[in-house]
Amino acid sequence: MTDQRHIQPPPIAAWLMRAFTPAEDRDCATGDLHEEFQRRLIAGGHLPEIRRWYWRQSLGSIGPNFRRRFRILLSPSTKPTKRRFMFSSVVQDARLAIRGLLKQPTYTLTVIGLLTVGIAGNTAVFCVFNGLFLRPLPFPEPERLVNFDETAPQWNLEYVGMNHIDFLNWRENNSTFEAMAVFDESEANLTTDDEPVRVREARVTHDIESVLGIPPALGRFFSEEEDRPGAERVAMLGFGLWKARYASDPDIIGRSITLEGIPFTVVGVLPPEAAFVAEAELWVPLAQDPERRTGSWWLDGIGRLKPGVTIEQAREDLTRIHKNAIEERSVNEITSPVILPILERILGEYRLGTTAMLGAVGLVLVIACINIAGIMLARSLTRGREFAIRLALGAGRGRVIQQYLTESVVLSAVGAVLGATLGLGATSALRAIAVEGPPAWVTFGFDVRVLGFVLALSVGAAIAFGIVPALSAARSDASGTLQATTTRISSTLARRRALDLLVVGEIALSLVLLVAAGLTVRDFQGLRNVDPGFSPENVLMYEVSLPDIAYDDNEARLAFFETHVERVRALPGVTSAAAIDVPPLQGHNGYLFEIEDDPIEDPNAPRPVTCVQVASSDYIETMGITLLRGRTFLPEDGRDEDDNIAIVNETFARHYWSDEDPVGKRIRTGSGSPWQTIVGVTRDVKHYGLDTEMRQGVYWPFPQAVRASSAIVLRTAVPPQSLVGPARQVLHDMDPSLPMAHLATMSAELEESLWVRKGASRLSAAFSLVALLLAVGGIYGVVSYRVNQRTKEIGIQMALGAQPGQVLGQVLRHGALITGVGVVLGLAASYGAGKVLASVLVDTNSRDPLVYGVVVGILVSATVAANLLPARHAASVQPAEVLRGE
Amino acid sequence: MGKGTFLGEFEQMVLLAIVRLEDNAYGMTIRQDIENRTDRSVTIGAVYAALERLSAKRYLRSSISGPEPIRGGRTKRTYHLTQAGEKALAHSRSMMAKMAEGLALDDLGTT
Repeated sequence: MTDQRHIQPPPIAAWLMRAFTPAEDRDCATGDLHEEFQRRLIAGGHLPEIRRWYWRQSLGSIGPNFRRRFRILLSPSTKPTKRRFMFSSVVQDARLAIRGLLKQPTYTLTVIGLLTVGIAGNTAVFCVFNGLFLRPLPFPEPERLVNFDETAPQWNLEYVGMNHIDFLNWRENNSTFEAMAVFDESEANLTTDDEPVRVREARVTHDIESVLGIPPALGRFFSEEEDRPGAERVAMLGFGLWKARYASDPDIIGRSITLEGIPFTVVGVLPPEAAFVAEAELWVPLAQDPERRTGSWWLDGIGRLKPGVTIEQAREDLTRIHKNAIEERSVNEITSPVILPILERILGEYRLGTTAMLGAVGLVLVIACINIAGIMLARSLTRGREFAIRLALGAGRGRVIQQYLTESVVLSAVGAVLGATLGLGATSALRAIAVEGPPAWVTFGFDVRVLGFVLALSVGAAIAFGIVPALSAARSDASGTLQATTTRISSTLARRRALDLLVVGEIALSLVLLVAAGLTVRDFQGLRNVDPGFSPENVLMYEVSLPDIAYDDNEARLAFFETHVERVRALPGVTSAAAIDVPPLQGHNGYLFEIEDDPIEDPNAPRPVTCVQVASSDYIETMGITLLRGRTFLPEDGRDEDDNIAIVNETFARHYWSDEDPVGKRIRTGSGSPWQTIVGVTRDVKHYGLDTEMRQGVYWPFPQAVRASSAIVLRTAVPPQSLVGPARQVLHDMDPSLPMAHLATMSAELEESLWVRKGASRLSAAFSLVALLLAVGGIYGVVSYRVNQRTKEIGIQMALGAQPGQVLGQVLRHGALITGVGVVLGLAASYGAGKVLASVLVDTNSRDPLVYGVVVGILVSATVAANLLPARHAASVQPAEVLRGE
Repeated sequence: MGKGTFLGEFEQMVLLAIVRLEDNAYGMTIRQDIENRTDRSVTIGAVYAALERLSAKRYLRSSISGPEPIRGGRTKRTYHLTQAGEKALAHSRSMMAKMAEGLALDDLGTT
């Protein structure tokens, strides 16, 4: 902040200010604001606060400026000034349109209401889409940032993770990357004066500085020397952590912090943007020894491509390097490099859902526009005289169309402002339902793209619903219309048919939405009832991680976890307790297995990656997992190095032995490792979530593979939350430096794992309900309009002896025909759309007859109900009165 | 005086600010003066809307200063009260004073 003259006000706010201020004051008013902005900066104000002030000024000025412009437009008494001279016919039309609209509040409010609903939904969903996929990352040339990883279809894994040896090889030999870095996401216990905390940590290679291309907020990044094994221990604080725990202390550089009991020197503070790397609160150098963990794939890759290099070129480059190394690393036969745009990799899972939602709200807006077009068309039939007079007086047809469209644009402008405001509000509501939503650095706020989207949407909508009635009006035959003396001009058959067709389209579209929503809701309900393979009720879970420095061997770690489990089991209210390294829904630890009686001849034959969990005795019982064969773990299991055992899951047993009993068979993880005897088979647990297939799974007894970090699960006889305090006390008594991390109840975790589907089912239900209401309103409007138009005809029919029942039937038949055609078209379209939807549905057939049946039932009964009112009105026509009225 | 010439509260504030600022009355200074004295947040748009209304009633005349001779220099529009404006302001103030005459208003608005 050395040279304040270069700091400009927020560009969008400045643009808004210019856009809304009338031209005669534009330069003066924006200049004034700019001047004050600069003065406040020079006076030493806080920049974000001054920016906020500028935003308030700009937004607050929209109201007065808007009123001012409307006063100019609406006051007929104002004398023409030089400026008003320049008003084109468009402004005259706008003025006329506004006055006309104000005289018909019901019509105006209906149209604006429909538009507001449509545009609000679209704005809200677009804000989410924009925040996720369109807004560039806050780094220089973000389009050159990519994620790189390894893929291995033969292991049934899309992304294996980066191997360190492979990374070194790629980094050294590639010609397509400007910089490449890898990092490992982990967690660490950070001890300061008060309570110990668990922080999210990224262990990064030093090259990440050149990949991101942004300066640190304070201090410096890591040097190459610091990124070597045995180097001096240094750390960088995340911006958030620095602010929250160290009160943004500028003297933090050079100070020491304690991580996992080891002192680290702070060399820098990360800029806020860096949070996008694993959402880490703290960085330390990876300092990986190239000789260690050669057979592990555990790192995340991030790289910056050279300018002009495509992802495909980079992939070819890395593939060539990777496959050239097969001689030294035969596993490279199985693994291959894979490169994705960075945002695609992090946020790709949200793309399908958001795009589908965007499609759904888009349909709602289309339906709303059809409704408005219907209303306008009906109105144009009655307004025919007005336009006939204009045409007769010599107005060009283009001019008449323009006037109609102007009215549409005025309406849609109001709808856009209201809708966008409402939509932005709804965005925060969307964020609130996203329990485990996208990372915190993704924001859904308003920006230029949202503004452009709303503008395009409202102009598009205006044209969409304005063009049909405009053309219809311009085509009207001036002399014919004028000759008819009453205002109730019998409309031509063609226009009636246009009206009918609009409603048919509307019904068909709402049917598509209803079917999609029905399938999504049913799928979600089905998934909630999927058996997770364990009983999640009354299970409390938390993680404890033991620092290497205080617990430096497996005996110490095992002793700690065993004592801890024993003590929490003794707490009143706890019925059983156990330790598990990776509980359900909390991640994955994969190994490749070899079967004793089925030796691997071809090392490159497909082998599934197996989910391994290390469980204490009692884990299977505590979680309520069903044992199918054999036995569960006993406390003495896994303590004898020569007697290794394992329990496998159903999928594992079926994959290797189909129907044979696997108990007594032996498996191992690699040619050098000891054989493990299978002692039991359990039912599958939905480890990756209720909507994901379970892999092959293996449990090892805790003493056999002691972990430094493990979760503790408690089954309770009382509400599980009530044991948080006592369990924390037990942990504190054992070691006050250990934090209790990831505290949760199992049932809450399970519920949260479905939040995307829950949100999708609620939103789509809401959208389709709106669509249904619109369609019902549309058919009601058209049928009653028809009845009103035909009152005279019906009167004559009844005078000639038609019974009320016959009239009723006639009107209902018309409604039924429209509904019928709409339903048939809608069913055909839904059937096609179902194929798209099938890829997201897990538990439900995309052609589920129940959903189709219920949806058609709802739609038909709603439209019949909407028809009954005008039909009964028609049947109650008094012929004498109608005919006398003529 | 008819309704059309009645001065609103905010219009009065703007006029008073212009009188006080003498030759330095333009959008920014007027806005700041009102904000500083009344402790209420005022937007630049509202100030210009009032200036436009008051100019239309011919209570104000304005003059445009050419771009300042420095880099990024800009045009400024400074405002002065016309005779009609002074009269209207005085009239509004005296009407208010007459209405308040003899009333103990000190206790109002303290709760």
